[in-house]
Amino acid sequence: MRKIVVSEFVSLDGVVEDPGGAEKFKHGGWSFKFRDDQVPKYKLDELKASDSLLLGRVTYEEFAKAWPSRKDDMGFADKMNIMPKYVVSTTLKKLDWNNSRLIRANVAEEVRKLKQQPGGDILVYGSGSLVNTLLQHDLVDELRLMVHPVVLGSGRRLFDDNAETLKVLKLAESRTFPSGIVLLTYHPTN
Amino acid sequence: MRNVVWLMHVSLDGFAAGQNGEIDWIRFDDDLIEDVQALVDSADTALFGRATYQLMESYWPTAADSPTASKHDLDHSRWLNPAPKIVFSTTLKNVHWENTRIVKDHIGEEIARLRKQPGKNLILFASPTLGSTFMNLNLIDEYFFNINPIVLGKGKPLFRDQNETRRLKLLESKTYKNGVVSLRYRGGN
Repeated sequence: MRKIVVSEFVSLDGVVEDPGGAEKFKHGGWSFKFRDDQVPKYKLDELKASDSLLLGRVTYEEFAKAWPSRKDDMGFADKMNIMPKYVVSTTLKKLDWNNSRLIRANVAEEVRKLKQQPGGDILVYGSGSLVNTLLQHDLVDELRLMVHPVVLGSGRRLFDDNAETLKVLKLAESRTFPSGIVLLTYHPTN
Repeated sequence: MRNVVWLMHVSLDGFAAGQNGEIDWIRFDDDLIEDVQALVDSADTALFGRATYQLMESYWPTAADSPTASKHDLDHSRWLNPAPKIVFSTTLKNVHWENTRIVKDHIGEEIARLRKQPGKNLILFASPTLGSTFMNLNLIDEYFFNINPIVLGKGKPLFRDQNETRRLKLLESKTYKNGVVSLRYRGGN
């Protein structure tokens, strides 16, 4: 069965809003202040190991604006543009980004179906609201948090502040990068 | 110069305690206790907010007297009970724990005064509300956060009402067998 892998840039105070700087958030682009040569390599390996993206509406719109015109020597942009993208939204009508298809309703059920299909891992970037839905339905197989050494003080947080259920996780791995980013990898257990 | 060190156990979703103050999800094992004890031993004075103080005051004065007291209970009691303790509160009237005093206001001045005195570090135990105040006053030198592998869903948040963005320096990260990751940062901006 295909795995759902959630991969997030997160500040020490749990903020995931606009790490890339495309959303007009006042701290937008905060993740760029913590770059080292190991992070891009890690992100490339992660992307190469996956064969589809699953995105919420906000993250999709940001990506769909930025990625089609990008090009890089590592092949990161090519992979982003070519790979299948599943987009969860009740409001979007059409998707312009190459190889994107819409999931309009019954998210949990649709994602469960995706997981049954043959193929490699499905990667989720950002998409905070979608991630909470996936967690609540026990659809996340791996959660990777790249914890940046900064307290932003404001912004949308990854985890719902008022979730009904407690989730116990299993720490699978932790890794420290030269920039002070710590990658924490968890597998949900319930 | 004495440093202010903040020791905090936190859930993966950033809560210091459950909705009703539950802290039973906080994981300890021998290695973690040893590292926490070393941190505590680098200090000689304990700092608390009101809620954490009251929780500690209801346990530690007699913890070592129990026949079921663990080695950690004994070690920590030996340090904590005689140590000078300061509780920052505008509402607390009385304290019943030895060597404890209440500070009502002028937190920054109090810490500045303590820093100038000779001695070991000052350790702030948990106290998420006071910790946030300390951060806003630039009073924290070192953070020792133990990230527990649990998403509580709701509870008492660790970081709230931060006035400004604060960039920290990672000193160390360490993984324990029980799934806790401790992240140690140097404060600053």
